[in-house]
Amino acid sequence: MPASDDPNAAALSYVSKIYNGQTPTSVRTGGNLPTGSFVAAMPDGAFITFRPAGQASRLTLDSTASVDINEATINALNGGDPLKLKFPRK
Amino acid sequence: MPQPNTVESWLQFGLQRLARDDISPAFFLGGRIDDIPDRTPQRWQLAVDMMYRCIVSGLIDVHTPRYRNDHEGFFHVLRTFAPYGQGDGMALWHGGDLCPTERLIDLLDKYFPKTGPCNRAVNPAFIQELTGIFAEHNVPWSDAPLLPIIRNDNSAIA
Repeated sequence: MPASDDPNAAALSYVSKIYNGQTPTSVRTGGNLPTGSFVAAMPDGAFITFRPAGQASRLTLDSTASVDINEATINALNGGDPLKLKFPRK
Repeated sequence: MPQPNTVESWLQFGLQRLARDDISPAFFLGGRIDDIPDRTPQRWQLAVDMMYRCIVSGLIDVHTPRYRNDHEGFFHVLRTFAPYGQGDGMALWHGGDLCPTERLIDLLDKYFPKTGPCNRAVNPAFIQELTGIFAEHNVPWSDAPLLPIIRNDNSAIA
């Protein structure tokens, strides 16, 4: 995704767009998740995962946020895999 | 003629991708395997067993802080809670974090280029070495479940 001054805000803005007016049926935070992260289950069976900057492993820059989309149609277009999007800092 | 999508090609491709970026356990449910349909108990079982083999063999680390040193707890959740349920398991399946070890990166570097597309065509020498690593760690590659999934009324898969 394009670099921005605020990767977390850019990623969260993107998440709100892909909700596309739907309300998640379940949202999980804390517990098994890194600080500030959440997983949202959508009515259409999709799962959306948000990880703020600084919460991924050493393979991701500390300044980069990420969003995973696990939805059947998108997965089919992506070789069967969930789509992982990175939101870097400018 | 297109290459068949076997468990070997799926695992080879998935490990190459993992060497470049951390992934959630849900990525082990994805990818192409011709003989095992998506969103079935068989895919769930395969995902649990392959993650287990790779972690026990020192190829993958659990990066999720709560389970970094508690692999038993990690696999208890993944075996017990179906991947597409909306209960307690969804946070770990979709929000957990797996990362490659140096051993995995070194192994892949012997057989594949570091950059460019990941390779789906099976490299028999790579699979042979990988099979040997699993056997050395007492988690041999087999169709028999290693950590049987526990299906119950709350773990409807789809």
